[in-house]
Amino acid sequence: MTGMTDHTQLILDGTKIPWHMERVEAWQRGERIAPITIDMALTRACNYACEYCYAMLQENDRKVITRDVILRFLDDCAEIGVKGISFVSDGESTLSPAFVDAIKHGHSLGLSMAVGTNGLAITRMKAEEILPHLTYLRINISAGERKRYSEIMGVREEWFDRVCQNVKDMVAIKQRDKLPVTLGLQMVVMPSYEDQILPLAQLGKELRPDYLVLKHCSDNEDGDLGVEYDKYEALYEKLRRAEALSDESYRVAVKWSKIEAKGQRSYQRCYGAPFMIQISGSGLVAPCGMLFNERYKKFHIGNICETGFKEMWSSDRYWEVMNYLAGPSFNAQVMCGSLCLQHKVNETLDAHVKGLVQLRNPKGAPPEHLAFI
Amino acid sequence: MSNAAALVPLDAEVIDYDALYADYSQSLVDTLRGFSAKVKGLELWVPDENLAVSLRNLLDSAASLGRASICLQLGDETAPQLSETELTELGQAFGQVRVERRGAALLFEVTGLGAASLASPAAAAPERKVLPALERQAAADASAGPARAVAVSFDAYERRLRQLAAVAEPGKGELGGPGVALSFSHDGCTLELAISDREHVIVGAECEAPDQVRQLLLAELCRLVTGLPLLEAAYHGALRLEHRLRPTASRPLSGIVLPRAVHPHFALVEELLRGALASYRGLSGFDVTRGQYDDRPRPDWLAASLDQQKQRLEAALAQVLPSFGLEANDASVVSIRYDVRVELGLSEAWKKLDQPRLVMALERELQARVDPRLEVYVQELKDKNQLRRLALVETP
Repeated sequence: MTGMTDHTQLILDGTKIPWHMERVEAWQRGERIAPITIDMALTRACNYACEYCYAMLQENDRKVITRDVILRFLDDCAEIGVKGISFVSDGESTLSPAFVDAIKHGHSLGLSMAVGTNGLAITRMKAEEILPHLTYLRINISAGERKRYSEIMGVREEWFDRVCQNVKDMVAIKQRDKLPVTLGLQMVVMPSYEDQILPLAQLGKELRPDYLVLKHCSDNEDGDLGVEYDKYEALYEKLRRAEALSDESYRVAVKWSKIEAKGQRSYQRCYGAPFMIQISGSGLVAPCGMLFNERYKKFHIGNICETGFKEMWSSDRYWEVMNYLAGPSFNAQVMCGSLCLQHKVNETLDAHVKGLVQLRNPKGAPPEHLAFI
Repeated sequence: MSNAAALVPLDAEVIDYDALYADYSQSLVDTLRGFSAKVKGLELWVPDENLAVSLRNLLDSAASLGRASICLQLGDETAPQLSETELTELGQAFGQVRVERRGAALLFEVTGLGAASLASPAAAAPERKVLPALERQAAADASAGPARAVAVSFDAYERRLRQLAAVAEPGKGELGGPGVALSFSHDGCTLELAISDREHVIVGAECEAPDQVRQLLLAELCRLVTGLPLLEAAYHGALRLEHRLRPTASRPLSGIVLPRAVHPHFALVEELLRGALASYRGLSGFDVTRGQYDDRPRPDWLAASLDQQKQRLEAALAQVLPSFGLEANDASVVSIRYDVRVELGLSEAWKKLDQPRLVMALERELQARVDPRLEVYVQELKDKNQLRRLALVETP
């Protein structure tokens, strides 16, 4: 362990599904496969109010994920063969009283654990506790200047300073202890945030996380967030200049494949969900975060606060929902929001099923964060 | 209901820890954005069931955000969880401590926050207790492990093929009309197609197979794909055929049903359709790879007015809902958008039922009774946050 992430091995714009051929082949044979990655939150609550927040579209019947619930859930995940759990999804998991124990317990079970957070509540003391147990920790920060940070993320300006300090502390802990954890920043780019692309890329260069990723904003199938995908092209030059700020230990990466897709999908079936499911901070299990709202009740599988995950995964209901998404009645082009979490996996598996590409075990060393496809 | 009003305000001397804890816990459930402990300097605090961890987090927040001191009252039930000595030791990692008993309650004050060295803050943290895994459920154990796919008999599909052949319209999809003609053979079977050269739609299809079962299968395929774009047929023709022939609602495989995995006959169908597409690409230069075909509703549904569509749906609901143990008025049509998205309002009676499964079943019924392209949703649940910033203007 060098404690430094090998950037050439970190895939930030793509999918790692070809490195899981055993599971792909079982899926093709019609066997029940465990998800490789589960993206979830420990609560729906958030101490921020970001303008682009998709969580406002994901409201569902709230239940509390207690420590008992999450620990048992993690036991089930490890038992059935889940490989990675990311606390991202539709809430700020650092606010949950179960957050630290969940990370430690998941790690002790051999699961890769990861966090996406606004970073505010990760004080130095908390960072000391969790970083040794994480594969990656990503801070959502969509501005490089105090005032704009406050406007875009809906919080007091001083939280910008607090988060910057927290990032510095995390970088220091990682370097001091030579931890293998990857520290990242993420900007959700809306066309109106163009002025913050370069300041943030520069800020990252000063804070020294491993990377800054610049990504699109997702919208629902009705376009309720008003994301104007045709305006992203005007940002390309600035995005390239941001990437040019990369150096030997700090990488700025743009999710070009999603930004250039302009919210469009090449596929109609959703094959990715069995490999990568999402769980709401309410405990709701659904194939996809875009289907969390009560509106999509027909896709809801169960709630980990009420039913064990292993039992749920073994149930006919779980596979009924998964098969709906893979069946002829489902068309992701018209029934889904844009650029979902499973998008790259879907794209790859769809091309594989159509015979357009032939997935094979890739040669060479596997990339970092293999459990997060 | 927030307990915030019960909290001692910032400038007051003592903060009611139990009220603060209760308010935090409730906010986790009913707040979406702008969530925070409602005392200045405690915005980074995350409570914990373990009182020592919770207080440690609280002091860490206060110190991190520059608060000089904090005074907490621990109530009758909370105070006994830690001894005065334990409280003192905990607080001393952050500043000077004063612990004062007030009946069964305790006053816990730490001043000079941040002055104490936290060179190794983790050392100040009480060991977290990770609860042991709970007992596994016998029922879950019984169904443990990935269910293996098993070989699927084609017998039921064959019976369905014979039923469909008996009622098939004679002559549908026969070759002989205009279009690019092509032929592709695989495993002794041949598929011949005529493709319209402008729309790339299959306008005629015929087949030949060396045995009766595959002849029936391919004949049904020809009827199915006629009228579809060739790209859609090549991409999803086998999937459509398997679903059309699937004899019951039960799935032939325990996991995801890809037609190729169901039976080699469906793999044959895929090979023939893919081969036909490749031939067509070679003949015509057609190079589109992104399929965008979407089934449209039937003409009679599209021709109906919105009121007529609602009436048809409500009539179907009235027929179906009693079989779910519901009354006809337990579901109402709230809206119909994009011709196919039906939004239903559900009564309180649904709350006692397995809603997700029933909504999916209801969709199948409405598709069967009204139009196969309908999609059923229920009313959106809106979050209660006042900071909702959507592109669309919403009524409160």
